[in-house]
Amino acid sequence: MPAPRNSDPQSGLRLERDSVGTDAVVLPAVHAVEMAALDTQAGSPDADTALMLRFQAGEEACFDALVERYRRPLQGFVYRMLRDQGASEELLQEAFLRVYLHRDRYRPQAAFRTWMYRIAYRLALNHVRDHRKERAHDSLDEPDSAVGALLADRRLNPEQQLLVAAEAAVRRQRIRAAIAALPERQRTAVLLHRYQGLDYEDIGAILRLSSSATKSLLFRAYESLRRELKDLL
Amino acid sequence: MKPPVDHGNDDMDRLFAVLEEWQPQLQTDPGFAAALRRRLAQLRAPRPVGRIWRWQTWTLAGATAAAALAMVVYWSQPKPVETPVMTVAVVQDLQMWNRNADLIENLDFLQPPAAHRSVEEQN
Repeated sequence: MPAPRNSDPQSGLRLERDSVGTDAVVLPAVHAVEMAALDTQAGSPDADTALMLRFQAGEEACFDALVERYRRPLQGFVYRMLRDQGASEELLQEAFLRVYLHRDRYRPQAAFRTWMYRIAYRLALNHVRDHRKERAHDSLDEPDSAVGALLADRRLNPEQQLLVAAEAAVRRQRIRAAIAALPERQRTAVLLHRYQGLDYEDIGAILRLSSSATKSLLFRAYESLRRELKDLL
Repeated sequence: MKPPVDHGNDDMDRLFAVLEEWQPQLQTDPGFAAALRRRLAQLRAPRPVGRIWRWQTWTLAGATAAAALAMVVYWSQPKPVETPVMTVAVVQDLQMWNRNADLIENLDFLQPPAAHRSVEEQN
């Protein structure tokens, strides 16, 4: 069992001495990345930034760790922006490719998370603008986890299940429509804040706004939603 | 998750609860990672020699060759033979000829008149 020897203050990775006890033993990159991935499960933006810096320094395996970590949350964000699963997958790939290609442009003054979301946001925005006419119709057939849960509820008979599921689908459609009707920045701020759990500073960094402007933006957005969805509250 | 915004009123809490109802069940495409790796591999791969056959290369080579050919044709055109202009010599010759013609034409004035000649001959 190797003994802990040192730790990287940025990534929190432990460097270990091998069983022979040789000094200056550095873990193989893949092993180190696995450890970093474990550390990042805690959700520390600093750990992601450290991974990105190591990727910048040439450790390509760190990129895979970042993809693994950000794929799901970004997919949710991009999907809510586009409401098109195929397009959101495609756009997500494009976002990761941008990270790969422009890794030299990343500066650690900004958290990797905001940089990554900013890239995805810009790509999604371009897509929305390019496909504005195609998005004129919003469908009810969105895949939703709640529908499966309702249909699996054995306390309801099949007829009740369908009724409840249909009512829930209509409510969700109203929510989607209300969010979609917000001005672009308000909509993005709500998605980042409500569904991605980002704070004012991160949202401000992504939208290039101050914290106070972000607060104001969110306040106006939630006020609009509250009025629009009043009968659902 | 506790929202960072605390509006401190029930309406907002209820609004957040309603917004939480929109939870799309997104399929995770099993081919996503493979497709991304494939695209990355294309980026990482060194440029193969075969890329020289790309159409851009051929277009550039064709344009260069056409320009070179045009220059060769231009420079290999037989140039018109420049005949030396003898204007000065010709003019001089003509002037000389004119003077000579005048001389010949007026040659008889150089001769003594017939009357004088006969007197002189008589003397």
